[in-house]
Amino acid sequence: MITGLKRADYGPLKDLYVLSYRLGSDVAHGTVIDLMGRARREPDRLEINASSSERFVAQALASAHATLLVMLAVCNNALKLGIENGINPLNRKHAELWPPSMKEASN
Amino acid sequence: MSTQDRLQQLLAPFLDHVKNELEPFINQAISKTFDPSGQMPLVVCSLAMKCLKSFSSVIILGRRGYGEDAMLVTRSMIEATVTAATLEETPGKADDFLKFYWIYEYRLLQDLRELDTRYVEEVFSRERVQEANCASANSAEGMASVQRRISVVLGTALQF
Repeated sequence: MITGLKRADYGPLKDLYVLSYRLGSDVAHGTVIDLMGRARREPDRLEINASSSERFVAQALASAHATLLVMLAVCNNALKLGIENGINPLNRKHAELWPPSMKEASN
Repeated sequence: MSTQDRLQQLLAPFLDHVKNELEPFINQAISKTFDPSGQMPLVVCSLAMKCLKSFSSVIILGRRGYGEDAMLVTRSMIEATVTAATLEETPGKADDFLKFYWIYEYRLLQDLRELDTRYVEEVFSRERVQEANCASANSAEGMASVQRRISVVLGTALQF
């Protein structure tokens, strides 16, 4: 996702809007399928604890990070913060932020 | 190695980035002494604060392994961002955005009335019921009340 300072740069907002609705259904389906797999593999174990796969964690953090940068770009315009060339460098490539096992998941 | 230890290890580069680059940048860009004036900047500023809190929540949930739940919070961040961008493009809608709270409250009031009128008395004070009724009737008294409350909301936002 591209973020930046100019209004044109937060064009992906429309994509974000679609993504927000996709996330709702994806999470529900993903969780159920994940739990079904676990129930099949480990039928004797029923736990209530943190059991997300790394994929979900990576997707959530990557989406939240990208969204926050878009919000900063919006604020820069709306509040006249005068941030020049500040936000783009924060939009680091996933390759720099994620270990190999999470890179694919977050893309 | 426990799941949490493994996640800590995997997320280390991201968490370092947040701590060493993102946080200082945000603190500098939107400092607490920032004083936005006008309805639109105040609403956008408040939405940004909400977004920052949600981002902290996403990190806490992610570090503990609750990825699906972190995504639900991310969705709220996305919606706040879309709202902020819409208001930035059309500042005149900031007033509608603030007033929509009373529409929302009136709808809640009506739904509760249909369920059980006693709920209304338990959830809303008499003053709030009267305000919601007046605002829905678009009476002068109701609108004055709405404007008064908007002033309170904006005053509170300034105390961030």
